[in-house]
Amino acid sequence: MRATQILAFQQSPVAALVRPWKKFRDGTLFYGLTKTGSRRHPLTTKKGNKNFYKGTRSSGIGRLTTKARYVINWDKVRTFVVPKEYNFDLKPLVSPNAPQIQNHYEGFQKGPLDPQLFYKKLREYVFYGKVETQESQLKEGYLERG
Amino acid sequence: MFQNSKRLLHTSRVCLARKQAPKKKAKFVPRDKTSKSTAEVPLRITPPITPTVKNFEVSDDHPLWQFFHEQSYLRQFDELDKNSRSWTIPELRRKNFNDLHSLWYTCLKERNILAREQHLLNVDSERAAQPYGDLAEKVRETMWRIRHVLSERHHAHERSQELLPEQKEQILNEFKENFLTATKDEEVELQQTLSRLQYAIFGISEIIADNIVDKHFVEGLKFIANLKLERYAKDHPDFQELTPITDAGEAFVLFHSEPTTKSITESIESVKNLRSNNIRVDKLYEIESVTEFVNKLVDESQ
Amino acid sequence: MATKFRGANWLQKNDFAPQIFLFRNLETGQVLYSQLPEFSDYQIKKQFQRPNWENRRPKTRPDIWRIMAVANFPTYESSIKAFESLVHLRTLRDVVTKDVAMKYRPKNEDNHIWYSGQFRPVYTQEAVADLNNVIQHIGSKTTIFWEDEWRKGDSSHWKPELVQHETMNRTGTRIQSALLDELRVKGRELFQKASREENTRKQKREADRARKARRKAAVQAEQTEQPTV
Repeated sequence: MRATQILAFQQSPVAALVRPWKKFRDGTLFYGLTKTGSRRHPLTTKKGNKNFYKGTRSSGIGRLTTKARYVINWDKVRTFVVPKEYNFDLKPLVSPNAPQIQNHYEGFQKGPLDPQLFYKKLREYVFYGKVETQESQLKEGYLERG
Repeated sequence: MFQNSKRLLHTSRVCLARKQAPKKKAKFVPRDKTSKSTAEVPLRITPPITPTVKNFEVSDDHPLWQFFHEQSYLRQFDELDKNSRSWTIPELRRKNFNDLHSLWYTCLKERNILAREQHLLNVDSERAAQPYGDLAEKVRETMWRIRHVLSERHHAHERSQELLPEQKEQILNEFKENFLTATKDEEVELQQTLSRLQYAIFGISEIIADNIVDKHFVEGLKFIANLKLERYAKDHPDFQELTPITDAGEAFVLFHSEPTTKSITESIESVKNLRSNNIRVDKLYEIESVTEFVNKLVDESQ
Repeated sequence: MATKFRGANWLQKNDFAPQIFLFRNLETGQVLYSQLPEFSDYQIKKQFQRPNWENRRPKTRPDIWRIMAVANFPTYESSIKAFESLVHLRTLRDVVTKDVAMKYRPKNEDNHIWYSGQFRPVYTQEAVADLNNVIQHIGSKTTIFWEDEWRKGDSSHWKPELVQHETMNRTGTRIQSALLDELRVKGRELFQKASREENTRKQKREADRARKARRKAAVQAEQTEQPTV
């Protein structure tokens, strides 16, 4: 008998989810929150009730062996790379009095992702270095080419 | 007689009872009079001894201090920087990768500090911890904006790859024209431009040890060797014979020489020497050979 | 091994040192005294006689018990006396004179022992105070190996002529049983050294006494001889 055929013996498909051998009867479903509504979507951590394992946001860095030992895969472990030349002058927040710059992309259809802009910047770097050009300098009203 | 009978009278038990050997009397041990302290300090309940931090010293550069703002346990509400705003995207677009990386790391540390303080206050009341959470949220905003700018750069780079061959040719031609027509007064500036070009187009860094040799590196080597030869040794009698340089070993000799006529002339001699001895780098093993040359240079400099 | 009370002879025969091990419960802050570098339900039953919601009888889970201190005594007799005194003090705190103990315990706003979750820091601090009291009561020189210097509190509490504080060397021994066994061996060495010193002192004392007796006898002999001359 195929496993799906077992469902035919139940009063409803949801009744198959109720576990009669469980002693506690708190009126909740085996998993899921409601019997009604669309049942064609997969159960996710957002949909499951208290029986659904939702994780601890801490796993996924290794695997369990057959003898229940956890082997850590160090390539998956989160690491923080320290900058090569740490610039300590930058602070996480900016003074409220500092003027806010606006970017504009005249002539570049795709804005900051435009290939022409990319090569323009490359050319500026090669031929002028860090010196500002007519185009790249800050204009009145804190307008700047992005 | 009694042992055989199954049911016994109560009186018979006395006869059957196993006799215990009489207990030896404990030997009298006179009290040790030397330890007088027993009398002095009775066993009694004393107040608990609280731990103190005075018992050990913590150095100022202990790594856990990174979780504290200026080594203070908890900042007061007024000490918080409540008016400042997060970095905006246009501001971050002006920064280079290293600056963005540093800023991201600084933000991360700041958030660690704030999370610690927030956690301490959350025990008492969530309201007291609110300003710390708000501040952390601002810092988090800076962090996602940094990631946004970096991904923007990445996508711009990917999109630009289509136009790379023609744009590269244009830039190199333009550069060649400038390089060959420049006067002697512009020499210093010219060398800076050259170093920027080799970094931007071929990925060749000024610091030898930073380089990773690949096909772009070898290509750049040849281009720069030809360029130098044309600028500094155009009047050399063997110029026509030497150009264009296609061998990676010869290119490396010229690439490595100083940008002066004298130094280039010396290099030409060694290139001629290589040719006369028929020493050539196999086209298939260019990258490996150049890696060897670079490593040798690094070892020498150390 | 630690399933019952162990006498001095047993300890010496089985290569244990005259030590007391103080284990600290990470969840509740309660402290368990043991003569051996391990513990069992026996110690818990003896040392937590009146469990209540504030002082629950702890479990024997090995992962939540961490070694706090190891006290080394000069003789097996003194270590046993100290162990019994510590258990007696625990009874005083929990059963006999609980009201006195409660006076010293910091309270929260509901007038209960201050706690955070299951953790009541005062229990650990009481155990440290009791250890100090017991050492002063016995009056013999003791070496204590602490898990960290922080927990022993201000040095003004301890008598420097009685107690020598040291810190456990925790580098390279991540497994607690290995660390405790190392401490047991060290305690054994300390004991042997102390007993050797004690022996030489005793021999010296006896030699002194014999010399004195000989001198006394000589003087007496002289006195008895004198009249005849």
